Amino acid sequence: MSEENKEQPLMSLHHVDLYYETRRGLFKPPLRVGAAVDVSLDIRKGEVLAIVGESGCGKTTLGNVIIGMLKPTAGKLYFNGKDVYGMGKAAFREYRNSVQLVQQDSYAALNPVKTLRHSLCGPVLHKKLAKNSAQAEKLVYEALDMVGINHEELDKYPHELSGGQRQRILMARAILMRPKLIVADEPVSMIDVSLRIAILNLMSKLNKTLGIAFVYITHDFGTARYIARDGNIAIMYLGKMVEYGNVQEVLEHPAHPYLQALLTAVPVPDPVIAKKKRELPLKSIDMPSVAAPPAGCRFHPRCPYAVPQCGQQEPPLVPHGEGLCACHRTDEIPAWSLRKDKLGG
Amino acid sequence: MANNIVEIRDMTVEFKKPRGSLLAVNHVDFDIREGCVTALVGESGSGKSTLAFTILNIVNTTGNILSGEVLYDGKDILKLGKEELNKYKWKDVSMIFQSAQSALNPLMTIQQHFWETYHVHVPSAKEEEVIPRFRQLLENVRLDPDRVLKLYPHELSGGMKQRVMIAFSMLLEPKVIILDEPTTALDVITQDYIFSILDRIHTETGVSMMLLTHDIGVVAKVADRIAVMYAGRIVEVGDIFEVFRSTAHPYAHALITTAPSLLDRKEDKKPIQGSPPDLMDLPSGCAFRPRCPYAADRCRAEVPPLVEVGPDHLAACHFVERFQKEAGIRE
Repeated sequence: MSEENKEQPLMSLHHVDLYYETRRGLFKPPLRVGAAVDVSLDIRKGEVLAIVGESGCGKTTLGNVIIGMLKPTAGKLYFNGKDVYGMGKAAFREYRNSVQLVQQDSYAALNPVKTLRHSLCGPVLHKKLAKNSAQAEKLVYEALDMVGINHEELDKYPHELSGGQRQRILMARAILMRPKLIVADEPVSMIDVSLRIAILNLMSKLNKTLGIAFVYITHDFGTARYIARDGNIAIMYLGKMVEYGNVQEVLEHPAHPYLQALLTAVPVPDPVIAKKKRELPLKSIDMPSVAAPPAGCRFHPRCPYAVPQCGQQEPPLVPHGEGLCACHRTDEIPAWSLRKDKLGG
Repeated sequence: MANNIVEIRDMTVEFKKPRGSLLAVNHVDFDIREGCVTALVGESGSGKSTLAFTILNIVNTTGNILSGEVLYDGKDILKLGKEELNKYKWKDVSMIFQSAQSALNPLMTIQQHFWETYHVHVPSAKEEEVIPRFRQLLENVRLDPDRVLKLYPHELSGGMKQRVMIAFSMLLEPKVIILDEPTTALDVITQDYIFSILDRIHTETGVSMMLLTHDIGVVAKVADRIAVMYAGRIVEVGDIFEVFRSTAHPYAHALITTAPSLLDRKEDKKPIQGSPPDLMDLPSGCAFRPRCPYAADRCRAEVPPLVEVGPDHLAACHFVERFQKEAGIRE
């Protein structure tokens, strides 16, 4: 990593496609499903990026591409400016260590028949980050202090911990690899509401004190806005990125009609505001299948502003305001403001 | 004020575990008001599903009801015989379970589902005669009956299955529907749509609803009344506007304010300390005490009773006034 310079993003995705193939029968060609199509994205050092979308939009697939678990069908993935799938073995290993994943289901992510000591010390020894188990344990204790877990918990099995504690253990396991980036895929959606803020605050702390960049994957706008703060947000729809920009700006003034509809549907925890009747700016509720996405703009069959052009031409992701948006009609559709929708006036 | 259509009195439900027994519901009084949407809010393990199960008397397989009664139409549901209870289910009170997605039999079409249940309750009915009713119910949830009646569950999307379940729950025109986390697995647009359908059904039929959820945004949107449960007890209950405006219990306050919302100011939120209670090993006095920043000696000694703190508003906290002052809820 000699040629690190400040401008260079930590990771870059260049026109990344990820198609899944499903066999349909002996004589039929396999079905190709584009879970991520033509995604280009930079992740800067130490930034927090939220990737938000509904189920089936490709956000988890994109996360798996970023950590190198799925190899893109087409396009390039760069880590510190180097092509991930063109680099040598040692460099690839370094990339894999530097980019860690924290999964949604903390119970499934830990071996149920091994103690946490085994699950945490094992990778440290395997990756030769410590010379012996005493040294490994020391590193593990430091990581536990960082995530707020008592050292005694180390001899427990995963089922003996609460969901919140297990999620902290996953964070500890991730930071033990001294990563530059952690991809956190719905890390709080399975834990109790009262514990979520603590986990989100922990991620912020790891981001600030250790300089680890985070990709936070979620369907929940509230937590995305909370964790990304001054960072960026990317909105996915049926495998495509449709909007990107500063999280506050994008959520306050969304340019894409899909995001406007989504935000209209999000209920806020205030009965005076939430009970206000609003019509969703949508022509159809049902999302088309990602296996057979509509031609042209993938959102056009549901879009109230669609014109014939939208059904023929796929809109490119182009600069709009400070961010990016993939819509033919951004300049023509009425301005939409979150505050106006929720608070009126 | 509307009448209560269901009244639960002094309900206690025990579960036996290898380590000992626990009280999932601990001497709880709870009402469903006629024509209202009552939300029951709490985290996993708070006892909200168990409390709802007592309304249909379906806890007995795994737990024991130690005390209490469920009054509906002047009768105690828990004392009904098997036949009477079966009549009461679906016809008086129906329930949409959390796993509605998997509540449908994969080997039966939607029409067969409707007919099976209808036939059991109305043995004299002929299938051809009631099909128009099935069609109407599906149209009410904005599904195309020509298509959907013939389909098997796996041919429906998650949102469609949930709508089928809502149509199904209305089959025998119940007076009360219990909805257990009806939109948890669904996307926000589908969720909004499901609630707009429920809202219309509610307005048109006046059916009373009980909604179990942990999503405060959903509660704010659809509920007329809210009850907050913690460790097997109700800690706060009342009119939705009143409870949100002058929250009286520290746990309810934390639950309402800590979920990140789109309209929050850009600042750190304070997490609730500690972790959810171990029902096998509850602290003495108020169960929320170890996590409560306002706790005092009295909270260790006495379980706070649920008392009136405002118009149509009850809370179970020894120090409502002090808490409200310190939390900036009241001057």
